[in-house]
Amino acid sequence: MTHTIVGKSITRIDVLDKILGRSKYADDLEFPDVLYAKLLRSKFPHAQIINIDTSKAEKLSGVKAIITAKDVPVNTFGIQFKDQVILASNKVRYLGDPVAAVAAESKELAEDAIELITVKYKELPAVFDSREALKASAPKIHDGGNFAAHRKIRLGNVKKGFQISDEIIEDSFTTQKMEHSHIEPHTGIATVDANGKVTIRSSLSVPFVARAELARVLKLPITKIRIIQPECGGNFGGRNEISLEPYIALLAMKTKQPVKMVWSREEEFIGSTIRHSYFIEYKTGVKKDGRLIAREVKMISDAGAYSSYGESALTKSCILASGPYKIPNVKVDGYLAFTNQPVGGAMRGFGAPQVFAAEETHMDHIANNLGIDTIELRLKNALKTGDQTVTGQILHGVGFTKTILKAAEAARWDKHQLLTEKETNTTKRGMGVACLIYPVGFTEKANPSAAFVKVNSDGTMNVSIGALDVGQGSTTVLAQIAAEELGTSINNISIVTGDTDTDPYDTGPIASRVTYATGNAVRFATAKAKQMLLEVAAESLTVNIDALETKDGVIYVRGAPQKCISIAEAALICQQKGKPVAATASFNPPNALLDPETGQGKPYPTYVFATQIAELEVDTQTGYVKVIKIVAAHDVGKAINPALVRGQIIGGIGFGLGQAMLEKMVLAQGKNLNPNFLDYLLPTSLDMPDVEVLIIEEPEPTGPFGAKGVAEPSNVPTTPAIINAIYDAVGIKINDLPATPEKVLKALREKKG
Amino acid sequence: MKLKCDIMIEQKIQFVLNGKSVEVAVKPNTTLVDVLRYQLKLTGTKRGCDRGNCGACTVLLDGKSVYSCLILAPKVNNREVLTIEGLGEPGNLHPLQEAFMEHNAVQCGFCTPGMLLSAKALLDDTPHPTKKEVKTAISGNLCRCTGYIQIIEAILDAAERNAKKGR
Repeated sequence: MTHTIVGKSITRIDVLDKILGRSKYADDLEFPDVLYAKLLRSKFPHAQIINIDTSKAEKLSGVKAIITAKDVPVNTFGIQFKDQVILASNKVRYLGDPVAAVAAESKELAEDAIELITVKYKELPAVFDSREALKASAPKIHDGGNFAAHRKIRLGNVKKGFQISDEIIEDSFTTQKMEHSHIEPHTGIATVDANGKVTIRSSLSVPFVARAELARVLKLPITKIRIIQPECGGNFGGRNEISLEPYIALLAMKTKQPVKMVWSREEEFIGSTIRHSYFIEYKTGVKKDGRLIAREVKMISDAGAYSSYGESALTKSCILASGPYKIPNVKVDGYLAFTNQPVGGAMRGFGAPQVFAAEETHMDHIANNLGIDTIELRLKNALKTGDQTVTGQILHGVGFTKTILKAAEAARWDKHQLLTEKETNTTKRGMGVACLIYPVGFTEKANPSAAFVKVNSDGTMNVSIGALDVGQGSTTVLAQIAAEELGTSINNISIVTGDTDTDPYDTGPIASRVTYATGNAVRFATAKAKQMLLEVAAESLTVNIDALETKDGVIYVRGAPQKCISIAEAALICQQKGKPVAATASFNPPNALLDPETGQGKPYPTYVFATQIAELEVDTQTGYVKVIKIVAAHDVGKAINPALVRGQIIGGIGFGLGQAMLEKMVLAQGKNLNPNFLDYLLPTSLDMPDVEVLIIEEPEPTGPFGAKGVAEPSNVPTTPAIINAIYDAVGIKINDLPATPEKVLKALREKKG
Repeated sequence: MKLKCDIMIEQKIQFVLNGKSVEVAVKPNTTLVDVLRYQLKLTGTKRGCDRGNCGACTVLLDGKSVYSCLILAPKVNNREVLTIEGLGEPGNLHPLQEAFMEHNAVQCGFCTPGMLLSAKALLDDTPHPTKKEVKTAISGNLCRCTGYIQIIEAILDAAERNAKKGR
């Protein structure tokens, strides 16, 4: 089937305002009499609150309201479990825990007022290591202890599998805590109207989930809360649950004035959710010919002080621990532990970057032990169409092998021994490969999207959706899907989104699901509207409805394009007949709960696959690693907009490079020692290698025009590909991320002896 | 206790902003980004870290790219400032803006104004930059979305377009 709009690199439809500096992000919005809010956070990583005295701060002229725990109607929240407090009342569990919030006439006044609040604490013993936290002797962070979750995968019989294996290879791996580092900090403005309706402007990526959560916290009906999403300055999972919204809402309700809160960069590190750090142990049994026979994996994820998305991310980690490979005997145990540290939440890759960093470097270890080429090992064990995943799900549309072969060809893997020709006495070259299986949509749970479309009398169409474009370009992609389905130009499509009062429900731009799930909803709604148009067209052209096709805004008879009527005319006829063209549709990815004991079931609707190959140079005198090139072959189902897909993949590679070599939140006794971009290193333009993106299209039958997803998968293989390339270059295995120059140099010296 | 908010006396400053003369009263500790965003209502200049690490607040001061969060407002007295609002307009986009649009160099857009101005400072100074020079010129502007490559491609393409136009 040929497409006219889908598959084309159409310019983003929201780009003009962005390049002109006219897009309005939350802090760009102005309200008369706005107050500025600030949080007082905990002074200790673990302490009892004895007393909070706000009296001095209240006396400060210009301070309009101060709230503490007693002002919160329902003082709990949490995306999975309601174990987090809005404002701490009797206990603080990490340094980010808010204790009080102030609204004042200026930012400076709010900061001054915060300093005038005195809180009396009784410090409690704290725990900062997830392994220690699980010991019986550890200080208890929650009443139920520090054990937050245990997820399991059981397939076949690992004991027997290891017995019949020729070799058993073991590895342990440690991953770091990372910050989303969207450049726009968390920002929100709350207003309250005379009827008590609260409007919050904040670029939350889960507006409907957040609205329900806020209704619960504020004890208001959902209709009394409206979330308007301004332009979003980056998400990556960092806006996947409520953050500052309850405080500004409560302060606006108390003062009857608009209240704005902007988190400082330091607060982003201290008080926003982060990527969980993991300890991971791998043990794999193999046959001499490279067949993977059995695998046992144990991992401990550091939840931080509260559960947030921890269990869900851990479940994904466990499901993906066997990699994109067919292994008959698998046993995975994942544990989630509370510590007195920043809260792990959702972050691009959601449990996968940690596990694949371990899994794919472990695969190289296996190949090196067996003396097999690492790509050959992967090809030998690769999942294919019709194979079952580790949870027993039968796969369709698997483009995995193609990604390996294409990437290897583009990177000239067969010639990779020739890299030594480019080496000097102090620089060594290496090449590393890493692969990926990644699901689209939520783990186990329903995650629906809905769309509402109306075709206007001039042939244009409004498409209402509830999934905000957080920068990835989903608005453009959804407009392409709508235009293709209706058979009109993309200029005739207007996407309307960003308001919970008018948008249809959507789970949001999370879990790489918008193109697939919201895309399906948009396509189905458009198809329904089109059907209404075709009915009047068939009547007007006196032909059977099946004989009609649409293209370029015209409905015509197949094979006789001169017999036609424009979409505009058909829409006008519908309107005049008293049936204006409008339709709604929804889509929910088909998935099901896993068996809690065996982890068997269908956790996701579909999976994407990828292979990345990194080429790099290691300076043996300084330990500095320069990544020269990355070839990235990604099976995306169908690239609705190849330029945007390329943008997602390159952006992801930057993310993965940061995880591999640069980024780490450094904590000491729960205190963040590098809460800024000077000490926490994000990749800059100078760190980026050349990137060759290869888009593989293995259509997904249940996706819109065959599309799956691309956002998260792109960063995951980059990290292990780089670590494997470092080994290839200088023979050192970094098993503790990130591979900083210091670490590389130390390993080089140890190797030398 | 000395409160941070009630110190300092305002003073008047005058400067050329996007080609037009403006006059504002500022406190000695007011930063340029605050003057632009809150007093002059030009919100295209973004604030991402407030300490000169991210580059979102980049503007041109006498043609050189600076972090406006690190410039005290009185410092711009009698000088010239260019913000994103002065770079181009619909129908008359700057070649860099056209190139950013066509090369998909924009995702969330929050770093884009600063990125464009750093790129302009480079091309004004070095009309035919190498890739390395482009990478260096924007290395003080963090972008978490794009991985920079499409931005670098756009800047190189804009330089080529400028050369063709003889600008």
